[in-house]
Amino acid sequence: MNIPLQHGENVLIPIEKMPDGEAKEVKSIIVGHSETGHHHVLDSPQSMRVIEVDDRMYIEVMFEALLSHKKAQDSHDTLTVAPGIWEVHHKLEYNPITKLVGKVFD
Amino acid sequence: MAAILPKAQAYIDRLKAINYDEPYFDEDEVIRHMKRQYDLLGIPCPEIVVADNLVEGYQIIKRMARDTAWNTAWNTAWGMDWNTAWGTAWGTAWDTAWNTAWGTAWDAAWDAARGTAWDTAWDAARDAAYLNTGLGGAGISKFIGIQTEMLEALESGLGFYFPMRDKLVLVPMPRMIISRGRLHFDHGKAVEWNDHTGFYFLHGVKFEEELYWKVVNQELTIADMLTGISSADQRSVALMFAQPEKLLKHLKAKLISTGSKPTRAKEPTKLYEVPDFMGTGTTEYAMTMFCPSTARPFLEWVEPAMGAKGDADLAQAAAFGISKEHYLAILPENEA
Repeated sequence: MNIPLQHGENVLIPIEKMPDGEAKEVKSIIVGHSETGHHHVLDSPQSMRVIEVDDRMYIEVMFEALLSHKKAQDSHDTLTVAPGIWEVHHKLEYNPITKLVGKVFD
Repeated sequence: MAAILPKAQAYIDRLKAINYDEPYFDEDEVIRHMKRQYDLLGIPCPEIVVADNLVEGYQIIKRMARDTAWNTAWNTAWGMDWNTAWGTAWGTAWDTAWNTAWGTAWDAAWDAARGTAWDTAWDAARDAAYLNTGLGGAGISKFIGIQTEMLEALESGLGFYFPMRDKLVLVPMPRMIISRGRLHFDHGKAVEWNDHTGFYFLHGVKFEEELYWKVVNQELTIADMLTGISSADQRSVALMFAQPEKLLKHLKAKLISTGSKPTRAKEPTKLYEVPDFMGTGTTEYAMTMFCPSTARPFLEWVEPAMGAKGDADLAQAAAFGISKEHYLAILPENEA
């Protein structure tokens, strides 16, 4: 079984099976959006299956993939993501002024 | 709430699709669409001048007379259809279009330099609202025709325009970095034209260059921020950039838990309790950690119910929406 991976404000948790849902096949997918364009992108030489359910992304990686941060400076290391099924989580942060919880971006 | 008609939705979608991250300026197309508006309004188009940026555009026009012919033609273009359409225009489409065209970058850009951005965005929003009325009078058709030209000018990279009596001054759309719906960039200008003129914004608040760099480089003490920054908005933002240890000391925070999982900088997460947060009487919780790529310390706030559990690792896991076991199993980024 793979071990969980963290890439900035995103965590990939290994799971055993894909959920039900409409799957798309891609060789590149943004796993962590950044509104400043500094996305966290997973690239694979072979198609990956991606299902999004209830604002959560699930990815079936067939062949070793690379998770990189599209930022010129202060970027995160590029990680190798092993074949397997992954559930993507994004970090949330509480704001003590507004009392609201929102996504963390980096 | 009224539904959005397909035509209005299509208009809103086009507004949303305008790319602020990497704008391009097709000068010939913009000029063509602006001239077409004058033709439709039935007034002669004055000499067209293209400024490099909003500041230059404003410098050009500040001593010029506003084109009264333009204003008159616009105001009379509607005729009697105006009141009918106006009464039915308010509704979902208005709100949506308004939020799209105006609610994010435009208000901040407007604050940065007074121009006619308001007119542009407001007119675009108004057009979507009118399209949503489903009304089809001659005046409305004419107005929408004019406004479609405006939309196409925006799509071709127009950012601002100044319809003066003797000149029509056009300004390209700047690159705008928008985060969580607000202008925000902590590595430079959030609004910038090709000639590097631009404005600094943090969390939607405009900063002058000197103060901006002091804030993002964490060069200010908490006392500097509280006594030296007169704008309450700027002060609040500056506090968000304060060095965690300085802020926690100022807030009289108490360390209640140290995590067991070291980060890349070998320092684990630390969870703090902040009683009487900013004089509100409520207890808040914050955790400090180090960026895995830059090793820069930073602070995040924790939902009070989770913070009260007094477990730094659990607070981190909860922020990611994962179990503590999964969180503890994650390897540091440079070892994964």
